[in-house]
Amino acid sequence: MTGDSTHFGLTDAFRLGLRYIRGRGQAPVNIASISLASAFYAYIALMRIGTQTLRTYRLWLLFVAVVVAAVSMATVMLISVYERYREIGVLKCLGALDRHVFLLLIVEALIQGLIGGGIGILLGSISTLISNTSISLSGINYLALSSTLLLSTLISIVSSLYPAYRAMRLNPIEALRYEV
Amino acid sequence: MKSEPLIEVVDLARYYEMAGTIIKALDGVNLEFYRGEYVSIVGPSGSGKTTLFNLIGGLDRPTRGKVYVDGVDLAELDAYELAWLRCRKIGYIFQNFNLIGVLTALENVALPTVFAGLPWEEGLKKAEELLRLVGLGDRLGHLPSELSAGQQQRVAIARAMVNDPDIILADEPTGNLDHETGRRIIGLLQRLNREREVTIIAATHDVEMIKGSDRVVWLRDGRVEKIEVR
Ligand SMILES: Nc1ncnc2c1ncn2[C@@H]1O[C@H](COP(=O)(O)OP(=O)(O)OP(=O)(O)O)[C@@H](O)[C@H]1O
Ligand SMILES: [Mg+2]
Repeated sequence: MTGDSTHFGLTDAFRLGLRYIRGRGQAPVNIASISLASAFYAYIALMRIGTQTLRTYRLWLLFVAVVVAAVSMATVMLISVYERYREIGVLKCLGALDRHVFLLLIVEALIQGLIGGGIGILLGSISTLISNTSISLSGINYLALSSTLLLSTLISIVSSLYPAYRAMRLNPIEALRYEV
Repeated sequence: MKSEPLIEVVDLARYYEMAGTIIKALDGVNLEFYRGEYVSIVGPSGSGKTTLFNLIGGLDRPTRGKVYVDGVDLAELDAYELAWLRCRKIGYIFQNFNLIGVLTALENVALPTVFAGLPWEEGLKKAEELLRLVGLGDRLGHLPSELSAGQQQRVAIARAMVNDPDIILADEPTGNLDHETGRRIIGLLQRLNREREVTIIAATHDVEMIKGSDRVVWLRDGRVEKIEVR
């Protein structure tokens, strides 16, 4: 036996993560909550007008939207980990290390965050263009808009840290005894 | 025939403490398994079969005693080396198949090759060969939910074989199958045992399934009751 260990890189995590996102029901829920918060952020980032009170009010709403999205995502990810308890145990039986399992879940969160952010950008800019005729497509602040993706991936990854940690620490023997 | 054993189990014990009382799941088991053998482990429910497999596979640590695989004491291995052992040396087959639900038959079989460090395309090629070998060449793109129980267990057998392990641990591989399908699964395992010279240790509590074994180990209450050489 050698001192070599097992492998599971970023590409592998993306491949398997995409299968899980496509094959399971929870992804749309996560993507919806992330895209709503992102749409709101994109809208605020573009609409730099209004009175001070209006802007503060909007920021509060954004804060609430972000918290709601993060809590929802954390809950759904935790459910997804429990539903896959046995499968994660199987992965460990087949040679997955703790950090491989962690990586898989974080990558799943990242993918959903990016998709949600993309949809949010679209929704946010459309609603800005509709509600404010003084802003045209060419006048959009694209830098502010792309920072939406930063926010969306941040929400999804941060809220998945604990679920991913739980998945990583799961004991394969118990997981395999676990009846769903 | 008797050379160095592939697996050596010495005075192996695993106790669980439950609400103050000690449960002796395994209590001083001595066993040797040789390369290319087909060994059945028979014992009633609770006799310690799964506990023994968990210890041989390095998923669990014993309360007392040793497991040597290829002369290496598993107690000396760290988490990385144990993962390598589970990935490359040992294949697992479970009662409830335990396939990954979102992956096709082909992808399920290829998955362990990822952990072994093989490029995905190569893993898929190897997986396809094995699925043909177990008679599922026409089911590559099917999800587990689209396969019968017997077919799912054949996918699991292919998955267990894909990294060319020395040992396959099959924990009640026929427990969820009807009699006829179960017999065919055992037939397949015994064929792979002969053709690929992989050591197979299969646990069962159905004495119908021990036909054709090289040896039968009878477990009871965490101890070896008798060993029958056939
Ligand atoms: N995590 C645990 N905590 C407490 N007791 C346990 C645990 N795992 C196993 N045991 C006990 O150890 C004994 C052996 O269990 P094991 O699962 O190895 O039996 P088995 O032969 O595989 O049975 P079966 O045929 O039902 O699968 C049983 O009495 C069981 O209750
Ligand atoms: Mg058992």
